[in-house]
Amino acid sequence: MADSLKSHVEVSSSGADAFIRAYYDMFDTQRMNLSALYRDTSAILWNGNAFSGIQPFTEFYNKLAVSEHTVLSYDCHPLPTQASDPGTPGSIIVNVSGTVKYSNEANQRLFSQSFILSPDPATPDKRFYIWSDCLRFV
Amino acid sequence: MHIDLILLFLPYGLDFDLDGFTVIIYAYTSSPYQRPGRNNRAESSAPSNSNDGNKIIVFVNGTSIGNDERLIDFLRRRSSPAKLSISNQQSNIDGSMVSFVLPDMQQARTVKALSGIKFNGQKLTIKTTVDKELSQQSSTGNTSTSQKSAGTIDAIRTFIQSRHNNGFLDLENMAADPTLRAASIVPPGGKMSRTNVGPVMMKVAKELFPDITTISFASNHLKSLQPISAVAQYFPKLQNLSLKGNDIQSYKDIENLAGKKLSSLRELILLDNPLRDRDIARNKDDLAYRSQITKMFPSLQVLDQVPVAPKISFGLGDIANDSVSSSTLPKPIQGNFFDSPGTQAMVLEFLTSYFQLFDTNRAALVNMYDNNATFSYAFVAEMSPLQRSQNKRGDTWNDYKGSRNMTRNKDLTSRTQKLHVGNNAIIQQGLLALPETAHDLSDASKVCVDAWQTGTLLPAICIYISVHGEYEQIRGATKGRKSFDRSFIIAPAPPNSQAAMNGWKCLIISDQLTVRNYNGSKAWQPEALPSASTGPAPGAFAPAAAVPTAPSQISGHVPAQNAPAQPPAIGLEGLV
Repeated sequence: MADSLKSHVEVSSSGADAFIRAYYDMFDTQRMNLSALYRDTSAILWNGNAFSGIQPFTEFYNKLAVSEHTVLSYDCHPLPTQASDPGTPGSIIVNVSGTVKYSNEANQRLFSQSFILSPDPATPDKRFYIWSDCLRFV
Repeated sequence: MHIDLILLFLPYGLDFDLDGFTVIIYAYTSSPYQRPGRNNRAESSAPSNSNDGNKIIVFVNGTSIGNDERLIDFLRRRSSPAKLSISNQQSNIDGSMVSFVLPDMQQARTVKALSGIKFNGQKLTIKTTVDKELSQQSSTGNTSTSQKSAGTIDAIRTFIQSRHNNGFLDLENMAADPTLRAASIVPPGGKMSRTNVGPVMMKVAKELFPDITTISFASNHLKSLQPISAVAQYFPKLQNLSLKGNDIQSYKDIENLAGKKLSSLRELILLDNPLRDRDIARNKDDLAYRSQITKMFPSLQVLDQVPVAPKISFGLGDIANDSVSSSTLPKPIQGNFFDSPGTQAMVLEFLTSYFQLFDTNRAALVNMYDNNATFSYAFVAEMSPLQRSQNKRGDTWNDYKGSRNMTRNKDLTSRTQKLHVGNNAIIQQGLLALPETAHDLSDASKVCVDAWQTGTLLPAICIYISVHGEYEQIRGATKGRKSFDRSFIIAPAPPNSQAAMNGWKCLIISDQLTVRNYNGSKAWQPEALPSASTGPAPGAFAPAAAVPTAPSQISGHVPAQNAPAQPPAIGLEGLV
């Protein structure tokens, strides 16, 4: 049990490590690639504004000024799996706390962002995508 | 709203001690270890196991009560204003039980009501030889309490009526008011004033005079605005506020009404408070003081009866969220989000019960977590923008050593150790290791909730919940106010689960907490509509002759279109 927990933690937390690095780097420097991480079914909430579909969300974040995110904290849990195949990785929930500075604003903002990442059954290697993304300035 | 009224008459301060959930039955047996108390106050003989004539014996049990004098003092304080005539006090040898005698049912009821209260960090169980009679009385309606409650409300109503005139509520020097004195009501600012006297007064005032635009709290010995913070809840469009002649020492003490809470506030008086006097003495002028106050109350036009200088910036140290105009963002900030009213009802019910137990009886949450649930928390040590703006220091990690913050916990062992799996581990190693807290959900503006259903993501249809808010850390190295973010995933409780049998509709699957240095609640306030601009005008508290030049300040007429956008109420009030 302990070993299986450890392996769950290893899989989920190294996934979170990689995701956190990639996501904010992409948001700050290659925002045009960001949409690849989302699906049209992704649940996206930005400061109380809900987006349905990648297109409206892409239009929205392209209007945001150039950003510089600094991650101060993140944490991640494995979630129960739906699949009958025990080899299929389950979803994970990742919570991030950090600061963001937009180029058209004088001060940093604090943000709290929470992702649920899920394997996409449509991709052959079950690549993870952002199942939900909930961001708030805090 | 009936909650306020009930709480008012609990015979003890209600901040952290409410515990209506767990009753631990302590079976008293005549202990061979009983010994005479160290400081028997009365001459009567040792208590027997029976009801000795009219005397009632009370047994207070806890694992290490220790010094019984301190316990007795504590019970006396908590029973105030009722006076306890305690006699024949005794304790057993290991300090786990204290007994004493009370002369009448009234006092017994008062003390019995304290059962479950925490003393020295542990819960006390209080039994009396008249428990049966007490419970029968309370089930048939506690007449003396309800009479007292009706009398108190009537007194507050009479008092408010006597202090109101044409939109102006003059609550100056309430301690000297004969109506309040006659009803033994200690007003806000008074010694041992109950925490909800202020809220009840404001609620009554709102019911009687909804058009109040001006309130004076002059000369009430207020040390902070906490006791009167309900002003923002009941009169969010208040225009004029006087705090003249109180005992306000620091800017922190007025935070309770600062920011956008009173978005229409145009005049504020802080004359004759140590905060103002000291700041001016130190700086030799009032520039820094006026700068700070106008920053904290951005809508202010008149401060201390002098018009606020228009659009003058007083330098650095802006509060980040204040100085950033929303126009730099492509979408305005919106209030709480729920994907359906059903989700909203479920989530609010869950959060209300959860945080109440989290504050008062964390161990009882064991049934709310799934056998395979996960919990962890992360501590963010960096200073918040609000702290930085106030030149405060950030908190240390001392009380949050189990933080799983993965920017700092890189190795697999600590990441595994700090992830708590299963309901028992979550309670014992996770939640109970966190410092004691008090979450205040009554002010909806201080909490932000987003929630939606998870569809087919998980084996059951769950609800994802993201909560942002604040709590008071009650003790410990870093005690004080903290901000937090919390993500829950909750599933419907299966019919025969422990959760369902304990009355919970939901079961927690995943729970992540982030604790941050306090940063207030401005960041998630929905964008308020611009208020009508009026130039600086004489204040409403100006001498009577000046009043007619600004009639609207007193008339109470606030055009409806100036109402600030209100976030959906998620406080307890909206629930019950």
